[in-house]
Amino acid sequence: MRTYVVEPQQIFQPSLLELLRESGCSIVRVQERLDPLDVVRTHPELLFFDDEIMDEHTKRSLQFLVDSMPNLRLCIFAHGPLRDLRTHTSTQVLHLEKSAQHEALLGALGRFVVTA
Amino acid sequence: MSMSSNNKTRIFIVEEQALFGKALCQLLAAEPTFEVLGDLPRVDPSTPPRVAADLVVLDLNGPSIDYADEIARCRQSFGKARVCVLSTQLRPEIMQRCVAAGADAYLAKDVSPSELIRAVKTVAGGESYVDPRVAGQLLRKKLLSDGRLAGDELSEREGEVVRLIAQGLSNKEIGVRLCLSEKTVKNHVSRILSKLNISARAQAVVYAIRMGLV
Repeated sequence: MRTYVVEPQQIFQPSLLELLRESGCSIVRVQERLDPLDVVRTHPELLFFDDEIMDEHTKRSLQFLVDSMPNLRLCIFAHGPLRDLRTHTSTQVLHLEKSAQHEALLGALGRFVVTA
Repeated sequence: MSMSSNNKTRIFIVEEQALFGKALCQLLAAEPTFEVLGDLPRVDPSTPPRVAADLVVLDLNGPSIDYADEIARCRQSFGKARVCVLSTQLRPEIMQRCVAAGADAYLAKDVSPSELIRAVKTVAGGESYVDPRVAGQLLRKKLLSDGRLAGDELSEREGEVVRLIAQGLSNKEIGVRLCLSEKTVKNHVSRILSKLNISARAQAVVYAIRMGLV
């Protein structure tokens, strides 16, 4: 699954990418900030992002992406319950808890990728 | 500070997110002067890890966290180890709370790998470190609340010392550059911090940048 990653913490990127690759994702881009136009240009199947990037601008950008790329799947890496994120009901969203262990993250991601 | 017999800084990581903990271990273990002893999701003073760490990298996040309490628990568990806090919060008041509770460093989690290693080395060397972005905010607040800039309060020599601090030099290196003893430089630094009403070298760096000294 062609995956676009938005992770602001550089330190964290190597182990995150390792996990995603292990889950069957093919990384097409890694960015620290969400650039919606770049996402559209790259045309990934999955947008993986850390909820640390979530502000009003990011929410609007995500809404734009969901509207313009109806087949785009979202994976949110979050500290706790999901913050306010409105998506179409058809959008497939996976919520991963940051505190989860490696195996649990791998399992959830793997199932999400397989059901594509 | 004490170090392991192989002269490496012994580091323990406390990080709730397993994946991030792994990333930190990998990054710090790759540095030849560090020895990573292990990691845990949290500290429990009743069952402290049986390791003699020189420095603990402590992740503190979450809206309901009691920063002072967590740092106190860390201090209880690791004795004299220096504490380097990693946080997603860039708010000066949280940094101040952590420093007041005994943290030796405060860094944002989006710090670059090289900056993290530099900060850990600084702290391992006995100095303090504060993310310059947080220090800058704090300094700006202080300057605004004072209603003036403090630049004209520094002597010519103190201005030179600030400029060299901003270039990343240690007290010893500044001493060599200015032909002063390390102790004299230390005295200058103390006076500078006191005159500028700041508490960390990183804040002095921000000051130097704002005043056009570098």
